[in-house]
Amino acid sequence: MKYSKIIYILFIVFVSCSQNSDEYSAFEIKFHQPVNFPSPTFDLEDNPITTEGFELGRKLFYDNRLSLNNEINCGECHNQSHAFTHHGHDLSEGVHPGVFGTRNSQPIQNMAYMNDFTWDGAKDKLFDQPLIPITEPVEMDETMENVLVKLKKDSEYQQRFQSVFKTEDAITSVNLLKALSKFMGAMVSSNSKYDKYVRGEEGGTFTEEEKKGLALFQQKCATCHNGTLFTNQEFINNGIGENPSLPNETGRARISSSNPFATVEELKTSDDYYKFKVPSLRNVEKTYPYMHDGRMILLSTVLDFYDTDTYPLMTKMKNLDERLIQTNQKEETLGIPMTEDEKVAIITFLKTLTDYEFLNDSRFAKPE
Amino acid sequence: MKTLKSYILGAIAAALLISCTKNNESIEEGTHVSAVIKFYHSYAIGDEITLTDSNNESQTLTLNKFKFIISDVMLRTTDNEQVHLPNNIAANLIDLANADETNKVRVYLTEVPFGSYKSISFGLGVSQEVANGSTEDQTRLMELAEADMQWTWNPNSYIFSKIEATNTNTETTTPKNLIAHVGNKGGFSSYVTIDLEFLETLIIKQEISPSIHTTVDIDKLFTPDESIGGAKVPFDLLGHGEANDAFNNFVTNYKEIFEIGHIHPNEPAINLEDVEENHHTEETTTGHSH
Repeated sequence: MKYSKIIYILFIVFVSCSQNSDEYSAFEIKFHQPVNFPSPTFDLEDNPITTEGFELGRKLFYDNRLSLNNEINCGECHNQSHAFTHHGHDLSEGVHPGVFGTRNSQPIQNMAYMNDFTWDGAKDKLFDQPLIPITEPVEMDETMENVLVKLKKDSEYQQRFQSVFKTEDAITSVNLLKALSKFMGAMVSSNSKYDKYVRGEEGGTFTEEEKKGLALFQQKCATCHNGTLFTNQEFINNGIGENPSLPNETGRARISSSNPFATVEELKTSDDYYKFKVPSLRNVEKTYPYMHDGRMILLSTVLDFYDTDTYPLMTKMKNLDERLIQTNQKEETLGIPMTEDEKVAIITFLKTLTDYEFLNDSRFAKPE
Repeated sequence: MKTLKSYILGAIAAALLISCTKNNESIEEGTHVSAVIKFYHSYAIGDEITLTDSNNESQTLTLNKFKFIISDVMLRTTDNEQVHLPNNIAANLIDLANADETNKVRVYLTEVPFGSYKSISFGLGVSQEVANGSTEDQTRLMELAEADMQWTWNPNSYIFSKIEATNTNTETTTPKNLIAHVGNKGGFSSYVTIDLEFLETLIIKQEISPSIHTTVDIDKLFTPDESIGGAKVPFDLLGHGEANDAFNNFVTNYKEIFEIGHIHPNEPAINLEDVEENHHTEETTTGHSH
């Protein structure tokens, strides 16, 4: 026991010497906290983000071996050019031809600041979120056990896991998930024109129309899409009606139910029925189509939906968010009043949230 | 040159590290089993079990599944000191499907400091504190859970316990089956701690691997000892509706199903690697995986 301290130090020396980051990377990654962002929710103490760990996570993210029969990788439905969403798809096909998921692929950006993950908040930590896409039959339909078997056969993975996690037999489920989190946690989008405007940086000069759009946005949209992340991170029923082709969709109700065997009929009585997480609007120009099931292709359609009097109209379920109900002399109107000009200005502003540095950052791309 | 030097240092470090851990825990070679908990279940998979439904009628069901995770194993010495065993060593999945012909599932405890102990406690399932805590400390728990004890789509992914049984009555069109999957779900907390006193002092030392006879009375999940606060559970109410009283009672009843019997104090020392080999086929999921 008395040797343990010396051994520990020697062990660290040994491990740190055996890793040579220059071998793989021409850049350095560490968690960068933008000045205009809130504190991260990501547990950097539990899972520090290092260049080597980031690169291991990236290799895994783009590795087909995470899926059944090595068919697809995470990048299949999360393309960088579209803020890591599935370029134009409402729903996405998994490893089985013709079998689609039930939710629109969400962007992977600023994950380190989120309280909950997926449309219904099935996870409250980024760490184990990848269990869902890896194991869901409609997505990658693989088991963690099989993934580990495949990775263990690869001597490069053996070496890189050991180097990042500094233990023998380092290819474990926990370390696989931690590596993916190191990659996704470092994917911060904070250099849009809007950010530069807020921080008073070069390239951050707003046009009159953009300024008008920002003011309107703050007045009409920022109750829910608030703050630097452009989401209050709540789960709300926003008036989107049931999708008849997805009859098993219950939104957050299945998560907040204490009964894992609750039926759709039972969940319809839940106050969380058809509630979904308010999405961040960063890079929203690129993340089309919109809504949890991707039913709206254009931003203008989304604004028409939220508007009080243009189609598509809102559906009033009993738990429709109160902030979307206007009462004037006992007359109820659903939505947010907006003129056509105002909608155009808001869309002009929303386009300032596009972060081209993030969309083109080669560090996040699949390595050549 | 610098690299070479550090490699040599590293090699020495690794050698020291390996030799040190071996000195601490081995009998001669391998991993000394400190003690064995033998869980004797009241039923086997496939046995018929008679339960009462919400109409107070008896129903006969065939038991298909009974399994639970234990974590945060703690032993208390005769001097009242708590010895906490790390979950990466002592967490286990007890699955009746892996039992021997006497309905027994063995759990091997290792790395328990030598000494005298008077009681043991363990959590049934995984506490919220552990699930939200260090991910490295969940390495073993997560692998135990992966096969059949994981809700990937729930914030706390661990399923603590499962029991399933099929009604043998084929005359009714919708026979009532038993299905209960327990965990922390939807704000309902299901984690319970089991405290068990040994009937005699448990001595842990290098020369022996004592075993602790523990019974698991499955009936008590439904018909507990009401005189000490348990409440009956109609089996068909489980798996319906929100965290109702029946489910609450059911989870609480887990505290009553375990009972410690005698200890075999002088069993010859065994080595984990040997028993893993012997029991590989019957206990694939409960054995330590390396």
